[in-house]
Amino acid sequence: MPSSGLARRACAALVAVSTISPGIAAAREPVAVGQAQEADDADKYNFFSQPTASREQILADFEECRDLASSVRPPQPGYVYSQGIAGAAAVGLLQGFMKGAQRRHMFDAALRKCMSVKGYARYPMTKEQAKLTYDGSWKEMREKLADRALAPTDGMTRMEP
Amino acid sequence: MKTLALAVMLAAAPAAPPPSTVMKTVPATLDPATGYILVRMGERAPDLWNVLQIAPYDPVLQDIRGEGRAKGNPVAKGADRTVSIGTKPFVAEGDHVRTYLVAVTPGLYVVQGGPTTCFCLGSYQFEVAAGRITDMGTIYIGPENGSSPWAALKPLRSTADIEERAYTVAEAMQVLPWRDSMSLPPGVSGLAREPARYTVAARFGNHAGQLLNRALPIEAGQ
Repeated sequence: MPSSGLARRACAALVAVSTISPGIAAAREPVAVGQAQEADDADKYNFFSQPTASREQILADFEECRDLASSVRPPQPGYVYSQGIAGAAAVGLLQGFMKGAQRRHMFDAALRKCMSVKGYARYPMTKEQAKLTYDGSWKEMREKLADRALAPTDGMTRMEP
Repeated sequence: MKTLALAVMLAAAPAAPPPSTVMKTVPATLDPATGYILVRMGERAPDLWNVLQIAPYDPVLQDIRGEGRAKGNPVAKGADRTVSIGTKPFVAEGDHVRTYLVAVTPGLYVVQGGPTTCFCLGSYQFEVAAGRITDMGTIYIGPENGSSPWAALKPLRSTADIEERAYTVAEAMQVLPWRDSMSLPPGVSGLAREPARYTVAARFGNHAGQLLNRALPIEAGQ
């Protein structure tokens, strides 16, 4: 699982478990999680693409979406807008691991929604590509994400947002 | 003597509700210094009612006043900040829709969010004038997982992995500006009232830490 330089500096043993772009969240605020999950799930490594956009716009979009998504917090106990059994269970387990993982999943969902609304498509990448992309400081990562976003995606299969 | 005169004047003045009061009944008269919002909100699911947040908006800095980019433009002391509307009290109920009447500080507001989602990626702003009711029309909010009973929201789905997880499904929001076919609570028709004139609020910060979305477009003729 890719992790950011900042996360490594914070704690070498931390393992990010986000499904899409863990480094983006970790570069802002590392969250300790005790175990790796779904390590070989190809769907979890992906990037955003909009080759027709300007580099300046892409950098701004990543900045804004990361900022908005990083603010997402799990609901508090007493929350009544549960989405099925999983939601109800999460309310009762908001401490420790559950809270960290839940927050990360919410970050992913929010980031994907934000980038989708801004017109970006989502494409898969390999684990090795993800390690290289989602690594380093946020400034470095953002430049690599912009490179990815601008690159042609000929022949690649677009993922659901 | 002056004190007595002031006391008489205060006693004679209509009792103005404190800011951001969700009213239990429609008043006989409106306070000229207070803004009023009338909004109908559809049921989220059977017996589950939505909550709507509106907040004072800075359209130049594109943020909630006193927050984020608009931190330097706070509302006056005692004025309303984020206003929550929903569940109870309401002034009318019928056809799975509740109608709320809320007294607020006059000014420019943005439809900020629902129970779980900030419409930070695009929503609507509208002016609330003093001494009259601003009619926001009808608002439907529901999760993008096919469970909403409302026609515009029901077809909206999220990607499978998002729907499978807890608290990752964003809400969608449809804003229907006032039209004649909408219900009016008893007593409202005799009060000064005008439809909310919605314009796009391009963005604002996620200050409540919610999931993200953009409000559905208001179609021509809606």
